[in-house]
Amino acid sequence: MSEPILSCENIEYCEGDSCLFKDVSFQLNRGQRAVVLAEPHRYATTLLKICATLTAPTGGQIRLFGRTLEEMDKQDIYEVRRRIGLVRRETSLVSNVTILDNVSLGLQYHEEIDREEAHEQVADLLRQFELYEDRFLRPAQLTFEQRRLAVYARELAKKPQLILLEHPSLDLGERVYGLLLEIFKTCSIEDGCAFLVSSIKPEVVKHWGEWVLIFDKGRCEHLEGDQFDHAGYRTSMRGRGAQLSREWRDQ
Amino acid sequence: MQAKPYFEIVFGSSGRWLLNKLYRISDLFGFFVVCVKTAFSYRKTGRRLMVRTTIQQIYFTGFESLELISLIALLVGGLVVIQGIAQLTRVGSREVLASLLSVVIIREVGPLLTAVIVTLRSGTAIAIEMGYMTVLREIESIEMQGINPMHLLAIPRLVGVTVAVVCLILFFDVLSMFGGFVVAWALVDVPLWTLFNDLARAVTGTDFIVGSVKAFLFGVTIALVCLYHGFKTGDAITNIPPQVSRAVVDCFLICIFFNVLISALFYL
Amino acid sequence: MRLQYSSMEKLTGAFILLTLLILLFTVAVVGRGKNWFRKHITYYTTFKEGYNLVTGSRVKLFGTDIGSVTDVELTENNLVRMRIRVLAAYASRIRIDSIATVESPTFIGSEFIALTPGSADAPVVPPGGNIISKEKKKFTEYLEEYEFERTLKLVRDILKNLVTITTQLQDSTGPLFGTLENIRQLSTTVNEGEGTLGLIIKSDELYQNIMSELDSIGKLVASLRKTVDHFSQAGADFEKTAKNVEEFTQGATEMTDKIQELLERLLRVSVLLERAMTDVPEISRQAREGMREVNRILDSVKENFLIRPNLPPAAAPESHGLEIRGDQ
Repeated sequence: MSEPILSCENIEYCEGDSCLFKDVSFQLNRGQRAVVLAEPHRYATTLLKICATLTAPTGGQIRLFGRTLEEMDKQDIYEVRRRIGLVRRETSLVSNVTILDNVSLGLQYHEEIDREEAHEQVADLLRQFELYEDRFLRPAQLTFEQRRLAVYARELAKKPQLILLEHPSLDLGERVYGLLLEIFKTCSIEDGCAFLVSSIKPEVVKHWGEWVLIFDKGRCEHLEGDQFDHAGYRTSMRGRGAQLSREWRDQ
Repeated sequence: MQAKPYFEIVFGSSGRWLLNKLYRISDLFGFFVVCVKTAFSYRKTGRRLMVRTTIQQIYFTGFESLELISLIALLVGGLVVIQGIAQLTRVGSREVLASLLSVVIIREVGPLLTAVIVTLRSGTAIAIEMGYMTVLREIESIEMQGINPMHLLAIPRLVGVTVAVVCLILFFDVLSMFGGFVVAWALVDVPLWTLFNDLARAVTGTDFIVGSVKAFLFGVTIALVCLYHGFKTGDAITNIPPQVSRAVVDCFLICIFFNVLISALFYL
Repeated sequence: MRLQYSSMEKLTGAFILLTLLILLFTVAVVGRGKNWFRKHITYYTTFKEGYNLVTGSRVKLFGTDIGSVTDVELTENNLVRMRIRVLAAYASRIRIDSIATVESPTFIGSEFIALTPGSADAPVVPPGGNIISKEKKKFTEYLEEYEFERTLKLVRDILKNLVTITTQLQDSTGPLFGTLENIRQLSTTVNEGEGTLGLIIKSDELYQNIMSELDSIGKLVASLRKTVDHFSQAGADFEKTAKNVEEFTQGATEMTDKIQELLERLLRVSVLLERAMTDVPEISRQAREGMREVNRILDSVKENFLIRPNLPPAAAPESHGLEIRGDQ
């Protein structure tokens, strides 16, 4: 069996005395897709940032592409990041360059190719994301949905082996979300991309979840996709919401 | 009345103020070292993009400032000569006009005024741009492209601003001389060629070296300080204005300090 | 290779190129002013002292810059060796009998090396050769050369004499005032008609007598001529006598003319003396003004720091009634 792309062993993340999570362990192999459901969602965001090497865990060990973080120097970490696509809700485009330059930025920097050549290389991708016509516009000139799509396009342009997504279904219309799912499915099947998706909606497990990681009040539960009970999770969340609203009303 | 708390407050707050300043200075040194290390360790990466970004920075800081610098230089040159003539006529010595121009403009006013203009025009722009990029997570995006933001963002700006400042100081010196010559020619009726020759005799090789050293240091200082404050903005957009303000004040102070230091080293 | 450039790239390139051109131009202009690009020849010269000469000090020929000092070093035998750089255009004037001296426009500071051109028949100093040097005179040597003390003593003596003369002139019994008093008395006497000259000038009666006597002499001469005419006819013996008488008559006529001339002169003298008497007060006033000026000069001379210690003790003031009465 090949080396897992991402492997977390007993990782924990604490801020002072309070720990967001402890002893979280999982593995993500090539072409595998997993979902992280968290309440509050901050847990999932922190886990994604740890997996993207943007935040260091306070305990445990994370292994990316077969190497631990301790084994890597700063240059290696940048190399690893090139192989990871991260799309958070806050992730944005560089505002003072065009969509074309944003999407081809990594190519222009790493590949030592002409700007025009890099533009040609990402042209197909922009067509896939229906952004080709607006390629010379700056981010501020696009709609919010287009900006999200441009961010996805930029992350895919570097041909990542691991894609970390936060709330992919939020803020996108059904048609565009369908388009995104199609493109990512191709990546997963043809290129063997691994996906780790965080969300607050249990529906995403249907599309992305071969297995599910559920954070609930600091506890972490690992479930296979077919074991996950959508209805139960939804009911549990609704019950918690109802309880919260009752508490608020009583106050 | 209890005297102790009062003294505690005075000493405590002044100590904190001093330590903050020292931290900031040491941070700046650290930032400079990181910039230099990054420039060397990534020297073979992304050269085309880096060159293009550097050219853009030279264009914005140098070429686009040329109009403003030219106007100010001509006026300042004229101003120095008007005052020079007014004062030197009293002692009957107009011959030292060229020396005055060289001493006042090439050695002191030219570099310092250019640094002030570049700080106000480009330094603030750099600090604001970096501030926004930090707040809007653009820097995180760049990092996730496997790009060291210090390399892609800081080095071209550092090099671009430094080159632009060196060029602009030279432009300022030449144009202010020209402005001074025209005023002198109009007021004193001294042939331009005579003034030109006087100036050529008055300017020394040391003036060239001092001018170049000052230009280089001012360029590095402006870029470095503004980048540092821009990167330090943090998460809140409201942090940008105070950081820009601090960047401008720090630029002025450090440039004046370097100016005094270099003048003392070369001319004392 | 991409050969299409954006306008930003072109403008930035032009900006950098223009800067380089300006830099080159400035270097060329300054270099021309500083003779950076002209050929220089190096020589050496040695002095006993450095005389504040430093690298960059000027080298002059006939007071014109022709080069600079490029190095100052101490030799093993405790001499100061200067390396100087001279414009090649002037190198032909530096001969083996050229002399290098250290001079300065003032006694202190701004020292430069002054070269004297050698004689035309002497060979030229080769590049890197030594130029004969002459030590710079010290301040004390300058004092000796100009015999400063002796000059000071002379000035002091002159001033002493001046003081004596002034004192004598101010003295009411001194020569100036004595002469002026004599002139005044003389003119008074003449005006009052006293003395021989006064009588001659002032007495109208004497003048009339002389004039009537002259008329009588004229008549006598005329009658004598008639008598002589009568006697000429009487005999040749009287010819000799007549001749003598004629000579006598001629002598008497000449004497009369001389007396007339003398009287006219006396009249002129009288007029001049009268005028002179009116000028005496003016002369006296001018003499007083002169005295005042002399006093002022003396005062300022006395104030001089070089003179003041050497002045003789002041004489006690003596009243003579003619002291200068300040500015009027």
